[in-house]
Amino acid sequence: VTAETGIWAYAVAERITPRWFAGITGVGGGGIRTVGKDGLVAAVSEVSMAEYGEQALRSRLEDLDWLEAAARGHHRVIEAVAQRQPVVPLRLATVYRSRAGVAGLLSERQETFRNALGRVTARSEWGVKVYAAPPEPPAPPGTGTGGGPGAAYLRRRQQQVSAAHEARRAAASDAGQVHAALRPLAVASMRRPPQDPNLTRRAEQMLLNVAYLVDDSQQARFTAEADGLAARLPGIRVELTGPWPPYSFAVSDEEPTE
Amino acid sequence: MSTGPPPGRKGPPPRDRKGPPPARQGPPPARQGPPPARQGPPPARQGPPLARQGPPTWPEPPPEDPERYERADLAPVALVDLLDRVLAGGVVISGEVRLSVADVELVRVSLHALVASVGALREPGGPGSGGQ
Repeated sequence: VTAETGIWAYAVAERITPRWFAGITGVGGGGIRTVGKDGLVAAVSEVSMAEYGEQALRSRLEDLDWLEAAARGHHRVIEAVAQRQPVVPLRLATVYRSRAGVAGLLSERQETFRNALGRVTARSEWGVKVYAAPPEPPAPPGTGTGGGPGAAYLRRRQQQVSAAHEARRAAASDAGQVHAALRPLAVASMRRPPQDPNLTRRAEQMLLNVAYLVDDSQQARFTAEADGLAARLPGIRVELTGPWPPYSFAVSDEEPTE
Repeated sequence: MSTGPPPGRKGPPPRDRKGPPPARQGPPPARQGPPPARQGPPPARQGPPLARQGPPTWPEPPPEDPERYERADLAPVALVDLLDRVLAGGVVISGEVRLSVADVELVRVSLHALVASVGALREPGGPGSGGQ
């Protein structure tokens, strides 16, 4: 067992004050501290390298319980900053060997961070997911005419197949409408792959998974439009989450979006 | 198809580690109704807009650091939405650090494994559980 410690970095802002984190602990239970350099501040906490060093992380990232605790701890700290200041979140599991390493980061990437902060100031991220609505129950039997039971079955089956096909096409078109209507109300958007049904725990197919960066002044319009779309388009289900810290829009130039 | 009892949306107790799948997706509040199920962080307050309405930046930080929006404590965000963001979003740093691009790929691989294991948990009679 080694007593070696690392520094887990959460987020960068122009100003971060330790008292914002009263009652909040970081990943692994450490208290939140700050590292400042060149007018930028990072929120950090100490972690044990035995648990958060490279080798340990490789295996622990496989453990969903561990991953959830880490993700929630990371988010908790970023959220506490985002509630008060424009913030650039760092990716989960950004660990330095020393506070000096974090200071070096702030200094070297000063411009990247300032650009990112400028991009997200007075804006928040909103998530929109669109699902296909559950399929209609199949039409009652006996609606066709002529032929024997075999022909009736085939006819029914064909109707079901084409109805399902039509429903899918309509839902995809509705999902496109959602994005077309919301995009102009945002300053940027980022599409993600649909989430795995095993993680969403939903039978409905996810058609759209988009993050929008929205001016705070446009927020009411944006959320009202999302509500309105959901009401107007019965073939789909719209889910809105937010406001989020701008996770999806702080990506630096060395990591272009896909 | 067993979906298990969905966890409550508010203030869930520490999760039973063997219990239902971890994506803490609240129950879809309106399965039939048209309005969107708004999950995760609380929606922005509809009435008075954000606390900070004036200048887009703070020239002089106010002493009390008023919060820009309400805390998300009451409605924990869905894990799947969070993972979307904390793993794929955010500035990626490399350097003295250990987490390089290769490690990011590792994370993605890990998540595929996770998805498979969650699926097996969810469907006890499903194909994932045979022979294990």
